[in-house]
Amino acid sequence: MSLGCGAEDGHMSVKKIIFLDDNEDLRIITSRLIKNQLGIDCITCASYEEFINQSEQILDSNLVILDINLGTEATGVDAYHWLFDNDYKGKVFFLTGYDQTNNLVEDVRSEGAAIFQKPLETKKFIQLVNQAIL
Amino acid sequence: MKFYNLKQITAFFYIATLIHYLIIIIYFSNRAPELIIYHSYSLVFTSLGLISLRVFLKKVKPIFIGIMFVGLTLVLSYGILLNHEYYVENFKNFQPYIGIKLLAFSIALLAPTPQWIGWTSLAITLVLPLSQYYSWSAIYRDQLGIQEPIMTICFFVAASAIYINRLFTVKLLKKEIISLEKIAIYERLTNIIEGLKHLNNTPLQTIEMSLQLLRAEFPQAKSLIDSIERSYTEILKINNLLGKSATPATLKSASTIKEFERDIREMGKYLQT
Repeated sequence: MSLGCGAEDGHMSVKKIIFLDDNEDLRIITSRLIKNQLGIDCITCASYEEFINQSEQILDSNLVILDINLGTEATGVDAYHWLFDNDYKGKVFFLTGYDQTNNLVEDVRSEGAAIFQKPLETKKFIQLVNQAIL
Repeated sequence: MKFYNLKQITAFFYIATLIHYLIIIIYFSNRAPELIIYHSYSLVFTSLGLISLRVFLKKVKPIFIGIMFVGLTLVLSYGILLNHEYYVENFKNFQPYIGIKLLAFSIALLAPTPQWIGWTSLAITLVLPLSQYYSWSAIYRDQLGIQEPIMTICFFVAASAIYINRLFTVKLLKKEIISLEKIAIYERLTNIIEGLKHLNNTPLQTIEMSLQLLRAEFPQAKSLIDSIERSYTEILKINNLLGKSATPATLKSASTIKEFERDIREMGKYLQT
């Protein structure tokens, strides 16, 4: 997979993006940016628990953007595995502060996940999101 | 791995000598009471030396510790010479200079540094017995057997070889330990840098996106946003430079500010030790 774990999203009508990150400011800004630049609703989650509690919304979304380190034992990698286990049809990519040499990053990369390192240029970020939800 | 310094080696030498004198005094009290007086003085000397080492351990200069080491060698050697004087005068059967030979080997194994301490002490184990030997008449010398004084010289040579080898080995091992410590410091430092970079990345992402939002929503604040963006770009450059280090697999870089504080504190402690 080049950018996510599925591409059968043609059946979904209203575009929806999920953003999982423990940093509140980044959640607010990212959600606002996506709405501002693409006119798409972005649902944010602060933790893995919050993420899986919104399973219906998440499985119905077109794109999930995951942070790896959530400041808790559960990481974005757990969320990634949860998506796989629940047969998620949308696309997924990681946006993490971790370096490419980090063990967790290497692990998820070996599983075929797309990983981008923070701080990602806004233009590139919007471009990625756009490509993913097309 | 831990290396003993000169103070510790000297203290060990004094403790061993103290035990030695206690045993000797008990052993000779019936067999050769004439020897007890000198050995008792030596026991007092050793005890005082040990107390001095204990009391002045932190204040005393290395040269004085060296002198104490050599001094004890002299005291021990002289005691052995007195024993021999007594043996030959009384036509006793004995192993010639066995105490001196053991002393020479012990010095070589203890490997005191600076080297003048070791070499002076070893020289004492050669010069003193030879001086005594050649000061004696042929009757006394004959009691030592056909192998002397060559055997004493051979032991000195062997002890010197062991001392040289020990010095070389200790030097090599010390170098290795220093290298390992340097690597450990480097690993901790790269871990801190990695943690710093990682913790910076999310706030930087927020600033990056905020700048774009501000541009879109407040075009009138363009010059102000440009200034912030220039400063942001500078910080970004520095942050990217931090990313050139690689954290070793043995360490886990900080994921939170709390963990980062812990790493900094631990690094400080490590450098202090």
